Amino acid sequence: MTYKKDTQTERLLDFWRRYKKNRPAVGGLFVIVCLILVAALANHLTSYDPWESNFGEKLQPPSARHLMGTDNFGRDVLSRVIYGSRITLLVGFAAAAITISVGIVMGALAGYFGGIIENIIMRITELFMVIPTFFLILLIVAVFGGSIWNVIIIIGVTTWPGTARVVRASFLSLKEKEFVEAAKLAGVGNYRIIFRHIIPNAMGPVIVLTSLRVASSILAEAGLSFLGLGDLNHVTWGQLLYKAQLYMRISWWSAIFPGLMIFLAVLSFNLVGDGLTDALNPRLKER
Amino acid sequence: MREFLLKRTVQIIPLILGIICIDFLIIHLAPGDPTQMLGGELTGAPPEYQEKLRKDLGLDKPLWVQLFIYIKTILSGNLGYSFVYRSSVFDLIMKQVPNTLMLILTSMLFSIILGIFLGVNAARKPYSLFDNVTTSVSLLGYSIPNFWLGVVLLLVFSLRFGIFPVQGMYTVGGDLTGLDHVIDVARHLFLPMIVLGTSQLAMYTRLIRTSMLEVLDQDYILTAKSKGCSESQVLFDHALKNALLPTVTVIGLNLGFVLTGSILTETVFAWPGIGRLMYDAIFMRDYPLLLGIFTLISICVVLATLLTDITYGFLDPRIRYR
Repeated sequence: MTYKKDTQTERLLDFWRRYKKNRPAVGGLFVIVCLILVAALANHLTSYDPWESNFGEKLQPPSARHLMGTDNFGRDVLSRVIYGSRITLLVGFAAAAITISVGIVMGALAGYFGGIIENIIMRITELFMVIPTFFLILLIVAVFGGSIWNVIIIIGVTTWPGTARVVRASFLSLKEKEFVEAAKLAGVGNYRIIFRHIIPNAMGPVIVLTSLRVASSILAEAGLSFLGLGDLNHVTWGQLLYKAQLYMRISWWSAIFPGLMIFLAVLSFNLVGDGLTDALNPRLKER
Repeated sequence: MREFLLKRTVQIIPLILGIICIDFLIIHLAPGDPTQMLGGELTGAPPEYQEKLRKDLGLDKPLWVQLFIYIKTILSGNLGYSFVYRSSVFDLIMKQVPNTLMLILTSMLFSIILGIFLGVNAARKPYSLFDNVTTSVSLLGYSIPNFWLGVVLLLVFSLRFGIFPVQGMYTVGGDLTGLDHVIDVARHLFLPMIVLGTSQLAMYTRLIRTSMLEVLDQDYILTAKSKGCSESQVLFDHALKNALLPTVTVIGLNLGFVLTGSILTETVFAWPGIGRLMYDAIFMRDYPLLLGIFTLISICVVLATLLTDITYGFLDPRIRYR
């Protein structure tokens, strides 16, 4: 047992050694950790209430009192950005979790069983790979309403095919491997083989995709909000940018900072995705 | 070749049917009755119109017959009727298509030309200062949300310095004609074109750099060099021609991505294209129009992938005979 543990720590350390060679990716990881901390500690980081209007201080430019200025209701933009990180990150992670789980299950079914199941799933993924997904997300949100969970679920269920294709490809090669053969001969059931034996070995590319999916989900939510389709009951960076547009001519700050945060978050998750690709496929890098 | 063309063309049929099925699904799953949804929520279509819709959609017939009727309707080019504009959806979209095309095509041209220039020069001396700067900036350009970039450029160049006009496609009330009109439109076009082109530029630069590096490693480049070709001859005649092949595919497959960017860009700059139409349709809850835009855009993207496949088949004979 101890032996197994050692190799696992060893492997993790080895992974980290490869990951940290990619300096931008380390920077991205650092930013993400900071963002998560900010979201978790939001109520300790600012003394301003992000929802309470204060008309005496409306539309003030950035100053020592309000680092990012105030909006048209006199609310501190910095504290709105800080609180906005909560829902924004929630959308990113939750939507990514949905896409990835659905994608894994669909890809596993297609890759493992083949035949008509594979055929149907692959035709659906082909369709979804071609059509511009954002138009579909937009249409569905417009028709079914844009509550925050609706947005999360809709982003999640329209973007899984990418993951499914990757997982299927891994399954096609893995299911021919000796250890799967051995498990089958030992009488292990299909369900157990898929989840216990194959999926853990197929996780590499999925982990990379997860990071990229968080980025694209944040971007999708921001895009929806920017078009006026977001959930008005919650503060997200996209919402802040949308609402700031009207007052753009007199207060640049309330538009610049929330957008900058979206940019920073998307960039960081993309950088981490790049770093993970390098660290998980050392062979690719050596070419 | 003929077999190849036929095979590829047949492959898009299930895709187009799939798109129509998605529409059908949305119409039927939408809250309320399909006639309510297609009548427009805010405008309150008169009962006679809803009755007509009910008949046209065959709502009293079994579901599979309804699907069949719906597919037939869409394929005959009837994308529905927008009660908000009192006009057929197809006509509404077609009116805006030239403006969107102008924006999309110029942004593509801008990003491809600049992308080739940057990518080739970055690949010429890998890991040089120029290469490192280009690579990092393109990483930034790829992640920047284009609607925010639009807002920033608008704030800086239009509102602060007044170099470019703020929004729209031409000066309202200017009544310019001839060359003056062209210049006026070009000035309005410039910022949206840059905004829409930025992420594409980042993509093409990275792509061309990578495939140039791969190609420059080949034996025939060594041959070209050793027989005394000049550097620019080697780079452009021997290397670039081969390195562009993967780019051609990406350009075609990117159409969906560019169209997505274009909705947001058009919204920022009030550019009177399909994106703007969509924005207004969201505001007015004009569902038939939204459905129509989704359907038409998706079908266009499918056709673009077909065209890309065929172009690639022409450029690279190995694909044809696979």
